[in-house]
Order: sequence, then structure tokens, then C-alpha cells
Amino acid sequence: MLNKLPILLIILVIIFLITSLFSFIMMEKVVTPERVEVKKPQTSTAAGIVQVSIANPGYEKEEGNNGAGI
Amino acid sequence: MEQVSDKTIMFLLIAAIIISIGGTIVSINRLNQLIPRVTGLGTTTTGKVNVTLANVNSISITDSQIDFGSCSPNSSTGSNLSSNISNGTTWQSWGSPGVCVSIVNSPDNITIKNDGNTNLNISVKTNVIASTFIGGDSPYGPLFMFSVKNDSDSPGCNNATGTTWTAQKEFNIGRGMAWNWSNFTVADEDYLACANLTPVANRDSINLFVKLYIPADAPQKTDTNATLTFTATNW
Repeated sequence: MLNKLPILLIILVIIFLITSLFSFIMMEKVVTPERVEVKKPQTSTAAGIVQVSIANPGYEKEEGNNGAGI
Repeated sequence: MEQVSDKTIMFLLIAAIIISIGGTIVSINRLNQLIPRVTGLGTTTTGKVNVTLANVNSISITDSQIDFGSCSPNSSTGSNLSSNISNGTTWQSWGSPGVCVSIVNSPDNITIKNDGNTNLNISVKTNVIASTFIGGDSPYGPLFMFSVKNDSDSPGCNNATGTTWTAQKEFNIGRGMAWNWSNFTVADEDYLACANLTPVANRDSINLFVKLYIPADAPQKTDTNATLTFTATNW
């Protein structure tokens, strides 16, 4: 029976290693805060309106900034 | 001392293994149930709080409409209308006296403000060009133009130094603004209005003015309009 002692010891060591691994993983989860990703917008838009009503050009204007000399 | 038998040693080993496995399972289960969870950190240790302030890209529009009112262009030459010229009691009529019905709130412009926390490039596009918006072609084709100036109360389009907010009139190494009149020749295409609009308080706004040339033969239209879309991208 005593000749099986090394095998049992090896099993014991493996169990301890697995236990340590589990403990490490658990502690890592508990201690490490979750990262919060903040998405930043790269573009934004807004709109405006330009409006005009065109009436009949029925008469000559006396003066002003007329013509397309722009 | 009396020798311990093999059976006793085996019994002790097996008992140790069983106790070890059982203890592990119980510990892990209980650790999971703890709220708040217990950590290995000491109670008197120092902590750090890290925060990263993200860039916020945001613009807003005030006075979002330029309304020239009802205008009758000169029957032989057509008429130029500039929203940066008053159409008030002096009957300046946007620079063409007598052409448009008097409009209060003139001169008129669209104000774009940087509401975020980062420098921005501002571009503008229109959904229609002059031929659709106004029409006509005699004696010249219609024009639909824009110009950008710094807001007098909150000049925000920055110059090359980044400190004095004395805006350049023209673009230079990615700074300045579209000071001169620019014609919208293509619809739905971005035209740069300001490079480097800062977000600093009282240094965050620009004004966009519009100029129209209405040909003499422009067709009669009621409330014809163009939508200007302003897009901000990080500088």
C-alpha cells in the first residue's frame, strides 16, 4: 500500500495547484474594476435654413447693388 | 515509539485529499456569495482614481434661419441680396434698396457655436444649388454664396497661434475661415467654413452670412428655401 504514496502525493499537489489557480481567477475578478468604454463622437451636425420669396420683377429699381458684379 | 501502520497513513492521506477538495468547493461558493465582495486589499492602503475625459464633439445653431422676405429683382439687371447688410428702416433692402419688403432682425446670419470641449473644423453644405433654389439665367445665372465671420461677442475661429482668437481671413495651415464669398456650385458637398473653432467660453462662435443673386427672369416662387447642414469634425 505504501508504494502508492508518491501517486497520492502527486494528486495532492495537482489539487493544490488547481485550487490556487481558481483562487487567483476569483480574486482577479473581485479586485479588478470593470473597464467602462466611453465612445466619443467624431462628428456632429446641425442645420439652418435660407429662405426667400421671389415676386414678379415688374418694375425698374432706382438704385442699389444690382447686377452680378460680384 | 510505535510504528504507524500503512493503512493508517493511507487513511490520513485520503482524508486530507477529501478535506482539501471539500474545503476548496465550500470556500469558492461562499466567496461568490459575499456582497460586497471581500478582497485582499488592506483597509488602510491608498487608492487611485483614474479618469479619462473624452473629446466631446458638439455644435449648436442659434438663429438658424436667414429669411430674405419677399423680393422683386430688378427687371433688367437682377439683384444682389446680402444678409450682412441691413434690410431695416433705412430700406437698404439687403444692399438692393427697394427690392425686398422690409424685414426686421436684419442683418441676418446663422450662428454656429462649439458646445464641446475640443477644437473643431466646421463645414457647410447645401441641399440645393442656385439654379434650383432661385432659377433664371438673364442677364446672368443665379448665385448662392456664403461667407463666414467671427461672432463679435464670442469670436471662435482661431488663428495660427491658437491664443489670440484673431481669426485669419483665409485658410492657412489648417486655420482661418471662409471670409470671402464662396459660391455653392455643388449640392450635398462639404465646403470648409472654419478650421479650428475653439470651445473656450466666449471664444466659440462664428456667423455665416448668405448672398444671393436673383436674375431678372427668376421665376416667381413663394418661400423657396435651401437647407444648410453644418458638420463638425475634430480639428
